[in-house]
Amino acid sequence: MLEYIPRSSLLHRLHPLTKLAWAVSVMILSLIFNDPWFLALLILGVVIIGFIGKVGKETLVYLSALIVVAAFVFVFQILFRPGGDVIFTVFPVSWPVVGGWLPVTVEGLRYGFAMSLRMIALVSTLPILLSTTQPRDIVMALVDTLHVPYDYAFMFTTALRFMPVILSEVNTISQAQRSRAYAVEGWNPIRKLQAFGPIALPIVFIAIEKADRLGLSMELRGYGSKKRTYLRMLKLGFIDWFILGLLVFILILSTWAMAKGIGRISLTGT
Amino acid sequence: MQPIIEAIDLHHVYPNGTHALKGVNLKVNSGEFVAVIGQNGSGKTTFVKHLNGLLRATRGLVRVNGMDVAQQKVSDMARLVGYCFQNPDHQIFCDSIYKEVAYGPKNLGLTSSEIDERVEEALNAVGLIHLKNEHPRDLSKGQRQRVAVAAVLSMRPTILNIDEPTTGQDYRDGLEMLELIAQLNRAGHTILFITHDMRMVARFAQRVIVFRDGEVLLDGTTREVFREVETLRSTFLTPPQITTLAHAFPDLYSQTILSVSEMLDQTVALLNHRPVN
Repeated sequence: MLEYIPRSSLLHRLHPLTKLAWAVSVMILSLIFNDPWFLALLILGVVIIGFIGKVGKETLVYLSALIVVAAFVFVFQILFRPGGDVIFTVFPVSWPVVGGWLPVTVEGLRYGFAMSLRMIALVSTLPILLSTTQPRDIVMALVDTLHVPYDYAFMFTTALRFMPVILSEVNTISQAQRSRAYAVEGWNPIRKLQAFGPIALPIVFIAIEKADRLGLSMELRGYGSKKRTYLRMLKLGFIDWFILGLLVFILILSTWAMAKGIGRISLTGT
Repeated sequence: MQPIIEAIDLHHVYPNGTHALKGVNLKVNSGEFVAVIGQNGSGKTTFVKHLNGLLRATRGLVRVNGMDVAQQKVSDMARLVGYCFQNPDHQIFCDSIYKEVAYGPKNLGLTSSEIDERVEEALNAVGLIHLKNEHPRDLSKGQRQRVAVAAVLSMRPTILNIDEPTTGQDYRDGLEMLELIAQLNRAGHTILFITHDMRMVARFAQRVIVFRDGEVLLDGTTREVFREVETLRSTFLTPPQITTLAHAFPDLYSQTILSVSEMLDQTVALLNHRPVN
């Protein structure tokens, strides 16, 4: 899902730096605003841009996977946020000892909603960035334009590159263990933790082996012997400058809005 | 007799849209020794993964021992259908061979004396009993593959699916692996093995199923299938050299030859009947 998808779109043609700047801007915006409406609008904007980049469907699949995580954030914020107007308690007040525990408050609900939306907004650009930009172009943008040391840029993109590979290995391992009657059932956390080993241990071994082989084959192909040159250089075009300018404008506008208190709500009390 | 495996109009479409199986109809009887062959991506592995429910039919039905696999959990099917993956490193996670082989029976909820008995039995079958306290990572790849087989055997599955048991092994290790599998077959296990090694197919399989583009292209005894040279060629498979050699002399060898010793027998017979001049 977080792999490059070769399609022809405006987003694919943009300079990787422009897309990185956009991703960082969305992150900043999602931290500036905490009004659920603003955050929802921000996410909607990201999805629309995903569709412009012809990866809208993939973006939606990714976001719907995130909703599961966001739901956890939501529930935890509601349950463990102290103070506020109590709507009801998870343990009814009439119960002995535990009665009145885990109150659900108006503030908790609002805060949980905002935080889970913020979490989604923060990482929503990732699938679009990665599916419209070739990893080597990200490396080049980082190294050539931002002067990040090549080793770090390479590490970053390799980690991204290997994510789908590792996920597919995890799937195979899980199938192999299920064929040996491996099953995680019930909600017992200790059993869940124990169930981790049969999947985690093989994947760690396989990952180390892969890293080892990758290192070897890189060295065999002359990694780190001389300063790198590039076959294909990317230049920021007019549209890139235009979008970068637009991003700067939006950020300035948002900072001003933040100072004015627009798009921010009080989450702690009414 | 009721077949132990039955696939009826089996279709499978992967989430990415690949139509991997396009209407497979198959029956396998108890005790058969079946080689499943075909090019990469032809649907062999996809088919076999339906037998214990690792993959669910998009359309159609798979019955194992009369049960609809779709209604069963993979972990429950494990008692009946063993599945040995191609790469043993995908399943080995314990720090001793004994524990590794005991993992399956433990999951089945057996008592420790039963587990003991089964581990001994399985390790004896693969010839690794003397290494039972070793760390799996200290073994060779071929030996680890045997550990993986033992880890499945210890659950005493009636049906044993083995995915490419000889890939990446030298001829001797591969041969030993197949001899082990043949021995299990004689002991009553129904065997399906996926392979690209036609020599092993000719030498061991009783029946061959050829997949092409998600369909069963050929299905018959090894001799019947290797006779269909033209059809096999359409999916880039060639019978072993000795079979091809015999096919080159249709007047001399009317029957499909599967091994050097068959070739020798027939040749000797031919020579004995040669008119003396």
